[in-house]
Amino acid sequence: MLSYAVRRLLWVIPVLVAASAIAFVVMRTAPGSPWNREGRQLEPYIVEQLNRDLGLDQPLLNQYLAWLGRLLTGDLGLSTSIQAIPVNEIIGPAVWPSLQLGLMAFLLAAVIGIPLGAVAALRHRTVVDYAATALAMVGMVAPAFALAAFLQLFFASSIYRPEEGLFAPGGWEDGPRSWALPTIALAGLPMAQFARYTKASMLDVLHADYVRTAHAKGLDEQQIVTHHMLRNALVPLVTLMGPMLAILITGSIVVERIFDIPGLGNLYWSSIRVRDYSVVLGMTVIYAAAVAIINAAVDILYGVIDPRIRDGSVR
Amino acid sequence: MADVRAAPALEAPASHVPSRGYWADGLHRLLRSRSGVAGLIIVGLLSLLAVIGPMVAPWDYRVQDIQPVLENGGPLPPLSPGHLLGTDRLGRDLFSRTLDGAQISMAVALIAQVVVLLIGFPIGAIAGWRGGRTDTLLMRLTDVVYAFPELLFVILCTSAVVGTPWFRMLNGLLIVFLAIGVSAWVTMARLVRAQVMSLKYREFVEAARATGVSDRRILLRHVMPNAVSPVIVAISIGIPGAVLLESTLSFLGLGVQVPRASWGSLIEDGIEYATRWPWLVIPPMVALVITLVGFTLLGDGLRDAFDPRTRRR
Repeated sequence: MLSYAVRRLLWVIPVLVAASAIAFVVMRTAPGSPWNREGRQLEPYIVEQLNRDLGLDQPLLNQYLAWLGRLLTGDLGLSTSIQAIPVNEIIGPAVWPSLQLGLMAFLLAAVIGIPLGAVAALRHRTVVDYAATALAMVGMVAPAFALAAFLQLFFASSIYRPEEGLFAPGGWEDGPRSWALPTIALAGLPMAQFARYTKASMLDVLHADYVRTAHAKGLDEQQIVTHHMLRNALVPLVTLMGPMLAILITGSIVVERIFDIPGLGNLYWSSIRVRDYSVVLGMTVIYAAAVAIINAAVDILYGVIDPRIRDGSVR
Repeated sequence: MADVRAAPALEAPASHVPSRGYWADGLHRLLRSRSGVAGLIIVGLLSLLAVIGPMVAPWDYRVQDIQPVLENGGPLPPLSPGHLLGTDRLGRDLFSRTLDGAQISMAVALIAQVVVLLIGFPIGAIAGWRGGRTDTLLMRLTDVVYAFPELLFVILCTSAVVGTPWFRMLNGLLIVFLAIGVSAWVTMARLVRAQVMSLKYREFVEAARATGVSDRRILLRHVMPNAVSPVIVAISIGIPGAVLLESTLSFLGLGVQVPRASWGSLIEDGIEYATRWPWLVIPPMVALVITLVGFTLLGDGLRDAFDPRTRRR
């Protein structure tokens, strides 16, 4: 088991190297440079000086290898925006809002989605099922950008509430006032996914032998549902949760831009726009690391739950 | 002798249960499910609109009927003379522009999935068929793509071509197709790989090999046809995601370029003024949601009809 976990985690390293190489190549082949954007053009000798200072005049391969070397020491280099601030200091403050928003949305989605799916399965083909399934369908197809924009418009817009409203239209500093709407907007899709997957896997266990046995023993209904059915039905959801959590905590560009949240999604967007090579590269590595580690954790967790997976007999 | 005469009666009464082929059987199941039929109808209507839209649209989507807008001091509201759903700030007919969006969404639904198929299918088939080191290498490649959150990867790729002539090709749609294809092929590749691996050692493949059929022919004529239905299901399930991704890109200004407008860019146009002129965002929103519901229902219906694991439900 330990060797399986170690092997799985070691695979993260080549994936990180390859992902950062892709981001490096894509950013460098993109037209434009950090020094000419929005029509501003610096004097050629200044550009030359800046390029020399940041090592951008070196051959691309050398630049990439130098960057990799610094990465090993945890240094992501200097920003290529107007001020040469260390990338670590730029990304650091953006991690917290995205992490917090993502976790809150994940919890909200789980708290609503799982019971919704379970109820839909238990009351299969009844009005309750159709209502729950329809609600999940709405979450599935309501685009996050539209959901976010509408929530902002109708619950935080000054047009309907001239006085200070219950919700802030944007930002992150106001505490729950500014957290509520983006959390709901971000939770729509994962809520729907939770509901659909829970329903499908609850239907699988609905007529399992051990459930019939539990009924025969005369256990009360609630105990059967929570202890026998849900516990088994939620196992397949582990594979869903990993990628979902990874996507949620790495910051949603759309939701963060609409609500003006100073998180990772917003930073990534603006860094690509201004061709801040080192910030984009640094964030790509952090993203890839988060996704790869979460996926590895899910695989290992699955190995713990189902021993057939770790010895390779089932894939 | 009595036994012989009795024998035919033991056979299944063939006339009562008509035997159906695999495809007819799946189609029959699809048509029996209410949501599958609903999806089929919505998608059918959308395809129709995409084809005949430009013919029935009262206005060209580019034409600016600016005079009444200037007189009105703002976009025309719905039910104005000549403009059923009103106009935007430049006097362009909203009904015609929303109708034109159907074409873009259908194009994304179909062509982006073709790109996904063209990249994902061969890679998955080769990985599954060759196994060994080729397989490991290709699967690690999918790991690399999986390492990027989807939208971020697409935005990274798209931003690499912003401002180049490529970006404006087909009103920005070329890049949308490629971006969706480049990010979504991994799921397809993994699915095809799993299919090929499970079929590789089946008896009919061994039989073909024993009779001296070439590898290539076995793969193309014996293995692939058996992997078609899960692939179709995966494509149809991937469509709503692709349509949603296109509208998100267009909403962010990286997708469809002016003067064409997809539903995403129409929503982006209108959302700023949604409290003053709410009719600007409602048609594209409704159209987008109906489309996504239609494709989702159809995808679920196809999965239930063709995926043996969900058949008993």
